[in-house]
Amino acid sequence: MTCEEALVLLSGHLDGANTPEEEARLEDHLARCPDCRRILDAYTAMDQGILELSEEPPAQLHDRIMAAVAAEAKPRRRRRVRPAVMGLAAAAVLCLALGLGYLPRQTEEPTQPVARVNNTLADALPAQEEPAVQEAPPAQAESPEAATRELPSNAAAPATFSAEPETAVESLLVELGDNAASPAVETIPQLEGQTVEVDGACGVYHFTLDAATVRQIIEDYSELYGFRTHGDLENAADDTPCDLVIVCG
Amino acid sequence: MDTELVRKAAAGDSDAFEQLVLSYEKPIYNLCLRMCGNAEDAMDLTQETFLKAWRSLGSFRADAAFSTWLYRLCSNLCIDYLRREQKRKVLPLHVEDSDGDERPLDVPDPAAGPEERLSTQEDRQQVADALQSLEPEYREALTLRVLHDLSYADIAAVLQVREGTVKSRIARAREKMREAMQKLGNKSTSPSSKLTRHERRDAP
Repeated sequence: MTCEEALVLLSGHLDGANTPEEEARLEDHLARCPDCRRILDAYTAMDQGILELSEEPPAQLHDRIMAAVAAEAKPRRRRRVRPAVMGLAAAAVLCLALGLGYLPRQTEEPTQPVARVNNTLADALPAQEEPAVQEAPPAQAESPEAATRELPSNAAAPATFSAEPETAVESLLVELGDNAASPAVETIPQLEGQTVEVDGACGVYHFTLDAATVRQIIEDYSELYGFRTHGDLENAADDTPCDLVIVCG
Repeated sequence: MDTELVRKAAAGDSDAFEQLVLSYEKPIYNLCLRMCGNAEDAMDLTQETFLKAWRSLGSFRADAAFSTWLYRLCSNLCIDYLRREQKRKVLPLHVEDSDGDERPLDVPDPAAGPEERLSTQEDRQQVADALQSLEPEYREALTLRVLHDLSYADIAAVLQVREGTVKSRIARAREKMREAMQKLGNKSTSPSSKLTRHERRDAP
């Protein structure tokens, strides 16, 4: 074994991560190599030094954290900044596309979760359309119901995410982050001042941006977070509307 | 245990959440401190971590380990912070000269006499500086392993890399840190240093 190979095993040795065979080979090498023995001593001392860097948090930190938590409402399941850009049915399509079982509502009432749908849109859509219309209170704004009625029964038609009439352009959707990790929405500069629909129960933020902006966000964050693209984002014109969904980690 | 507290906290029970905060605020703070290098930002990042956890608990999957999830939130926020602060470039190695430059970390040791206090303080500062000089990926992996005592498997889950990657990254981190300690150690035995050799603890 070379000393270079031994270095990795030295580290593994300190972490208790070597196999018995690796330990045996390492012991063998150390018996013959004073340099590596010195390095092991150095690593051991370093580990101890790092442990001694541990600090007590400042006294005020705990109270600051709890004060910030108290200032937040309880984990809200609904938070509308402005009326959603997406119509009710389009949002339903979105949730179904994501495999979520939620139909967003225009009111503050707690939602009724619908059964998770894993089949295709074509199967799911007609079934969901009816309850959405029936359960919406009569005082609903006109546009969501209008959007529902406009939704073609042929679910193969592309879903639209704005009030504009359907065009031949394929709709774009990007999901950034997953349950494991997602960017802090508040820290993404391109999202400042955007209309945001928060589906707290799903842990999902919806934004509607243009393709150029979404491409830039992906470029900035793709190293850190997983993302999935639906539709041809790469070749879309800069001003093509694109939905960005950030799944709260 | 965690599971019950998490369930309650996810339902909006802030007392339950406070128990979780009490359990994790020290390790989370120390991770932030090692990543960003100063107490003020570490406090901000710690607060941000717990706030984000509070907001996102509803979507936390019960089958995942809460601690891993929390460390991952923290890790992501720290990386975001470093990107924003553009501190990804390696910090220059420096040594406190006899005039006593500003120390980012204050380390009083009331039990020690003046000479001992200096020696412990400088050694500790050397370790902190050497660790801080590592690139974030290495610094983070080594901190989680040594300071937080996370297993390779847990670190892999936090950093979302393979376990093999964790093993080699930590080995490389140790070697880089050893080299950094050597550079710092050599500088501090120069004539300007106040400490004599025999007063120093055995440093690498």
